[in-house]
Amino acid sequence: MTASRSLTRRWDPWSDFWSLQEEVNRLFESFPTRGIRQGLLGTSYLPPVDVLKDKDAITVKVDLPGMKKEDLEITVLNENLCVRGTKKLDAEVDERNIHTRERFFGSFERVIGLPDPVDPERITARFVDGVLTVVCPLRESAKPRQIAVDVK
Amino acid sequence: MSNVQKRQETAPAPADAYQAEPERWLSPRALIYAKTDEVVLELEMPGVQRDKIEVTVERDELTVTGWRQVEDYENYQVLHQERAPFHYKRAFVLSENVRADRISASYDNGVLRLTIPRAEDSKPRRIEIQ
Repeated sequence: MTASRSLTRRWDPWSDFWSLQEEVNRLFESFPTRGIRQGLLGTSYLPPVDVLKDKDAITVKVDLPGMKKEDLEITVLNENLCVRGTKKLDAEVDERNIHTRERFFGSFERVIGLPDPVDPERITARFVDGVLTVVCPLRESAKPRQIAVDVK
Repeated sequence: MSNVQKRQETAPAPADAYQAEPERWLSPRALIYAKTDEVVLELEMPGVQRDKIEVTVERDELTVTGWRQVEDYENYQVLHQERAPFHYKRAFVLSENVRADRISASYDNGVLRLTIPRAEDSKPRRIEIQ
């Protein structure tokens, strides 16, 4: 049997391009949290989020200084945790007299893909010093289980 | 002794868990606006506990330092991190139109709110039309 492939190949300028595209696709697919998406509201306010995992739960922390608890909505659906709300400017502030405005105000929405199945009934949320901490306990079946090896 | 000086002397020292002089500070986002009698300065410092805030005034410079609660991520697998784990510090130069010696401060939900009264002659005055 002889090798059917010749020793030289014509260089295809597009092959490098496509292989880069493939690599980028692979990178996005393998991203552990399945991505954090901005919600459909399409506003520019994106409160920063940390996503942590240990053997019992997925913990999500969001910086939301100045938010009122009643203006905040946290929902979970199909392995997506959605944090949305509206940060309101104090009614007493006359917009004509604002000297510096760096704080974000307005509506926001962040959707966090949870990498493992969680138990929605047991999710807890705390809001302390402007930091929202949502602890999503893993569903029992999603936890690693030790399998005993039978040696006969 | 003015109230501000008193506050400086009784301000709590940062706990040992915090570095004496961090290599990097985060500048808290500010909202500054004027009211008839006072100027209000709001600074966002999420993750800072009330007793870890220092507000000092030296001559015309106001400095705010907030020591962020140190979160230990060692026992976790960090899947995604956007929150900057730094302490906050920012300085402002106050104009002579405000009474720097009469600053009052309150803190709620990660926002420090400083209220500085305006000096008498800098307040807007209505002029009556005869």
